Amino acid sequence: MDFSKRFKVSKAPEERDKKVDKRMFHGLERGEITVTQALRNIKDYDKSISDINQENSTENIALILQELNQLIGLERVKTLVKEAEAYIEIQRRRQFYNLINEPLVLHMIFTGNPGTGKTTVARILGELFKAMKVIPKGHLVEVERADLVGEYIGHTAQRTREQIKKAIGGILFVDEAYSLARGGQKDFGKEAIDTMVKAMEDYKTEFVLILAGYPREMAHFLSVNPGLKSRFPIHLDFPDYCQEELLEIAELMLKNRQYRMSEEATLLLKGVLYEKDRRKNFSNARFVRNLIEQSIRRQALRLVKKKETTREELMLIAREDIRLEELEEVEEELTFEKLFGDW
Amino acid sequence: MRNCLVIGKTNVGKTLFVINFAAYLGIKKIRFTLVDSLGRQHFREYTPELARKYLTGGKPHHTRCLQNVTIKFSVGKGQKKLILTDSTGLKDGIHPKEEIRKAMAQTLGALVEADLIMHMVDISQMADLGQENFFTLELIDRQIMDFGRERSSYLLLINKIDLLQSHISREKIKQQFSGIPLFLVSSVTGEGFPEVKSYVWNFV
Repeated sequence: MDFSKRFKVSKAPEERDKKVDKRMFHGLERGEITVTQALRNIKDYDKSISDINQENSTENIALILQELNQLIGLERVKTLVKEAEAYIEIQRRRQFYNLINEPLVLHMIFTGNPGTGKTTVARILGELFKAMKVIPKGHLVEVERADLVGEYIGHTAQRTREQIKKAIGGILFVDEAYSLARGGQKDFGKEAIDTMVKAMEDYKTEFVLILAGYPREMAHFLSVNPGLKSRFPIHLDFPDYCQEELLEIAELMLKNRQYRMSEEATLLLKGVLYEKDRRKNFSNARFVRNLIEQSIRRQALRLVKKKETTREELMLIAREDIRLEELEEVEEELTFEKLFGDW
Repeated sequence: MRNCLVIGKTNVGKTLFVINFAAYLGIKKIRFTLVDSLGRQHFREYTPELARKYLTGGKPHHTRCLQNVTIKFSVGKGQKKLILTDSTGLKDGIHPKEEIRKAMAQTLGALVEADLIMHMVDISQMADLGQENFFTLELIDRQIMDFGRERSSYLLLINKIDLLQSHISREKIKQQFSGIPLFLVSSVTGEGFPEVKSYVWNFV
């Protein structure tokens, strides 16, 4: 048909954002390929695009996993992450073949002593789930009792719901969750728990709820609320770090800051971190971090008096830089109390 | 504005469906926008009777470019637009005429861009009585189906239902394609148009 003679000719239609390159059909126009081949090409092209997207996300995943692997210890967490990763991948493949795929419920309970990495792991998991496209945003909303419990009857549910709304698409991390069960029957903490349980069912796949706390208190908390434990498919225990692990953490922290310890300093630190000498409220990695940061400051104080310093000196943490002030403080407090009692 | 593409093999009744569907929706004068392979647009207005006479026929490849019909309808107080696109029939193998090859390439381009794919098949050519599954789809139809279901909204229109022999139950057809949104229609008699209309309305 010769259109230009018979019909009014108008301008070319506005270019839409084309998803597929028109050149793909040139082979068909020239009579080089059949229609079915052309259709196959389109499909392959589609697939290659989605593959590219996927590659980006797998790169992201690899980066995040690297971050996770840098954490010392936490073997249980690492295996869990591997499990989750494999599960998500298989679900995606099942989806491709139109097989039934179950939504992933990833609510978790973290138990562990202070400084065993609960918050750090939660933050990494948020990013990881985002990269795996399990949750869209992957941000971490950290709350505690004070953020959830309200001042009057009915206020608690409202506040809790607000926090959950904020966490949709990400992770709601309830630190020291056991404190919600404290205070007996009349306490508003119970209302917060009830609201969270409801939200967990309603927005099952839209956010991840993590309850964290110290092991003994959490065990009590879970026994008080019998339905709670079964609603969390994943239960992670963060064990205390052993002496070697803490030492490794200290060395890694120093290495990241471009410092290193002298041998005597290492020996001293090793002694401090010996398991049996630990106090009741030993805060594991946090203790190490505080100690390291403190000794870096001390080193600065020591070196600033000198007129000239070498590169080596600037990097070295010596034995006298490590001072166990924190420990001494506790002891001092005790003696102070004793003194006070005497008065 | 949604783009709704009618696609299928040659001679399954795509053009007649578009004309009769537009007429069913109450359009007295159908304004076709013909888009040729270079992207130029030409306008042509027909009454349904004349459109049937000039645009359809028994030979394959009567339609050789995209033919758009814009359908306006009111939703609440506003108005919405639906573009119904009639396309050149696809046929496997390499067609000797360049014009038709270009037109088929254009159809595939439209397939990629369509918001709703209405895939039309001819029931009278599908019935294969010797087999357990009465109806077999050719490779090209299967490809369109796979593509459509993966990519965007997809709708299977089984045309020429008026030619179906009475001993083949319609339930059986629906059973075989369970899980796919499917309508049994007849472009000639207008059977099944109300169902298609309500589906398309919901989609827009």
